[in-house]
Amino acid sequence: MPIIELRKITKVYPGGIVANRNVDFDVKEGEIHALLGENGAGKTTLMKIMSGGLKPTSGEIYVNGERVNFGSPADALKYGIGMVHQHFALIPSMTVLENLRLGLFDRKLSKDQLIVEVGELSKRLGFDLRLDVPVDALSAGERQRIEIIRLLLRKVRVLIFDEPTSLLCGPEIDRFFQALKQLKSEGHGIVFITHKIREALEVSDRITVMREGRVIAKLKRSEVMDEEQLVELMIGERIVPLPDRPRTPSDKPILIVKDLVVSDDLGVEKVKGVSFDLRAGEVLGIAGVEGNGQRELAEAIAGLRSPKSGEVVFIGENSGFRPSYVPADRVELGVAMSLSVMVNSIIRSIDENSKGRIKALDFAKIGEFAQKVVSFLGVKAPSLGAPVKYLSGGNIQKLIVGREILKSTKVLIAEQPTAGLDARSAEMVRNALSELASKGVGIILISSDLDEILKLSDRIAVISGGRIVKIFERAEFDPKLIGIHMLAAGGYMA
Amino acid sequence: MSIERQVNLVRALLALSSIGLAFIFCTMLITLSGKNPGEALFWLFYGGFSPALIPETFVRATPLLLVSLGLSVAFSAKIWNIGAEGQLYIGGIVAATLALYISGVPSPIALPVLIVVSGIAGALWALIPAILRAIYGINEVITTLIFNYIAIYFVSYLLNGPLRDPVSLFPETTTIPDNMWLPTVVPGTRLHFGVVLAFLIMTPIMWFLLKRTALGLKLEILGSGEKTAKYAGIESVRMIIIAMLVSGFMAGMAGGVEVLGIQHKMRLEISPPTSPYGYTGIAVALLGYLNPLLIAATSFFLGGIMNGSTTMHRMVGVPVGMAGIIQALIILFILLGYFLEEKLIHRIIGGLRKVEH
Repeated sequence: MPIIELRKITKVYPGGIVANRNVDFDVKEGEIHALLGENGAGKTTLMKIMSGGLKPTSGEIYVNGERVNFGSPADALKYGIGMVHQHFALIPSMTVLENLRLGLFDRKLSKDQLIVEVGELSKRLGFDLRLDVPVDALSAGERQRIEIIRLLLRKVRVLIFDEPTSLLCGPEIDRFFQALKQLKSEGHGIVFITHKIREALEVSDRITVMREGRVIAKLKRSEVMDEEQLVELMIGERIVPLPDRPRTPSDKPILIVKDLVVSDDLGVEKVKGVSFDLRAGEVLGIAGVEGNGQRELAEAIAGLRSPKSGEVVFIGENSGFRPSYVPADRVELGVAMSLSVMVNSIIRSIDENSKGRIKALDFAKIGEFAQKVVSFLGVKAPSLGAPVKYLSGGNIQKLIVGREILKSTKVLIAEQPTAGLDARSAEMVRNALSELASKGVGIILISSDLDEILKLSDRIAVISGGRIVKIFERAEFDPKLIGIHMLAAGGYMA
Repeated sequence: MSIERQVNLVRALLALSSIGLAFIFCTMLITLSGKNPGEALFWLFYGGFSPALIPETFVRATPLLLVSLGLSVAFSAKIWNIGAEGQLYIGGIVAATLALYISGVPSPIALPVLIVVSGIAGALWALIPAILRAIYGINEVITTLIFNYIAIYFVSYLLNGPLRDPVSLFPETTTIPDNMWLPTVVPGTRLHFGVVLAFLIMTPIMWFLLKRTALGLKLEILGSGEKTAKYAGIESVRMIIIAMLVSGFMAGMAGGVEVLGIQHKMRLEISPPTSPYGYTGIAVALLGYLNPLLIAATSFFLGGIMNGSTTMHRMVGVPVGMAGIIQALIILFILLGYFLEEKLIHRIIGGLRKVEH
């Protein structure tokens, strides 16, 4: 008997988007069940229903064959169902231990007992948690491990992971998979939401494919013949990658970064003297293990964070120039959640979209641009006037990327531009970046997807421990060598 | 029907049913106090909304509206200025004092100056909390609240001491000469120019400012998160100070207009103790969804309830305290409606759409 079973789940969101239609799903003991699908296919919605975060519009949930209703995630936890969200639910200013204690609710453990228990769990899973460090000093991988331990402390039997690898990179992904296998061997049921076919094939025992809110296929791992088969199920058609663009960057630099030193919010130096230049029409890839200073570097260049020392100079622009910037943190930085799609499409160019001395908003112009942004990458929104909070994470991402690309600009910083996007949208974004570069825009591409960096970049700068350890020309691209440099001396592996 | 329309429809229905519920509760309370609820509610509405008394409702609503228009600007940026009451007192005392000084100046010049200066005085009173919040991140709720006490006790000192009318029995200033009074707009009523200023001039201006200009949008973005605001290139320090100053200006102007239009002197009871304008304005701004047009309607409604409850007290003998409770209940129920709103909107719209699919 499955631990948990969902029957005929339908979910209609306000605004009328139907996220799940008559979906059946179950998780058994000791299995890894991949939930595969494009962005907006309804995977996250389904799992939020299974973990008590959302109520289904109709349908039933059974735990051990018994009909249940989850009023909240806490209810689901009582039945042993827990979820690790894509955006971690940890309090950044509190230490790891404090965060772990917060999740305990009804379990009464003394601090010492807790430390012992966390120690045992970490040992079994091969984690090395630093308990007295505030969470905001930790990398995504470390945060994920805290979330896992927190669920295990609550004695969950089913762990749900929403796009768990989207913020991790190479070695961290392997460690995560190791932990998954350990959990599985201990009898836990695991759901692994992903749009990455290769990962689904690598670890899962069963694969459920969703498309447009429906279950398209339920397969055992052994029944899957090849990746192509899953691609077809997921997308319904094959993706055609665009041919490579002509590589003709000019020699003229448009951005010079010199001896840049940047600290994070806690005052810890994250960028320790970085220098490089960016040429017009060039894609400069920045490769590195997450948490090695990429975010602080991007924010400093984008003008959101003042550097401790060093210079950022945009050639031929006045000092107030702000480049286009796709931030990794799309919910907190990239959009104003309570405001409309329309307003959010001009959020970084309000003054350019208003006229006269009183700066009246030019709604005709704004509406036209918003329409362009929405149709550019196919943002699914109930209407231009609807608040962004009614959009799915992937659609918010498309809105941000579209907005920053369409805004006329000379320099674009794209941080994880395809994270969390489905294969087709990701390909569209990559094509758009390519096209932008061939128009003469200089692009800094920060991504944890090394394949993406290799494909798009003219040069790759490897960042490690807050320093650029090497810059590779296109002719010298070699994934293995780049990987080695990513973990070079000074770069820490989270 | 577009989503926005449906949402507005739900909101309107919800507001009406909250008011209905509030009156059902009021009926119960009045019955408990041993009075005839039918009679009491009749006088409540008669006192607030009978045609002959509507001008008085406008007069009552005017300071409330000016205060809450200003607060809507600050609240849009999630800057919680709780200090309108103090800013109103400062605006009032400055208007009265200055009017006594410049009584020789012709009214067409003096009156606009007095109104603007009382606004500036209110804005200046908000300046210190504004700077503390914008630059040092000190919670404005606490500072503005404390500044209310400072303002009110300071004004109280002035009215009992240096600025006290020597022949009056009460702590109040000398009555200002009648060339310093705001002109009456409709003869035979107390509808003064301040009413026109609040309802016909400031309401549209504030609506335009908030809903149609870059400044209004920037304030809203700041309200949705300081990080996003920074990303959007918005100078939050400047925006916070603007938001505080505008709300202080409007509250100060409310005090000035009340002095020049109605009281004709500064007194300690310039703001009714049972429902002070500066605090009731907070509820009005929130009840009006920070939308100046809705705020104007809400001010009028609450102004009517304020006047009506006095009438009810006088005619039926419902205790004054009960009148205050009834006002509070109405506000409470409307707020309860807001609390339910999000859920209801989800359910209703989700349901409507489900049928379509």
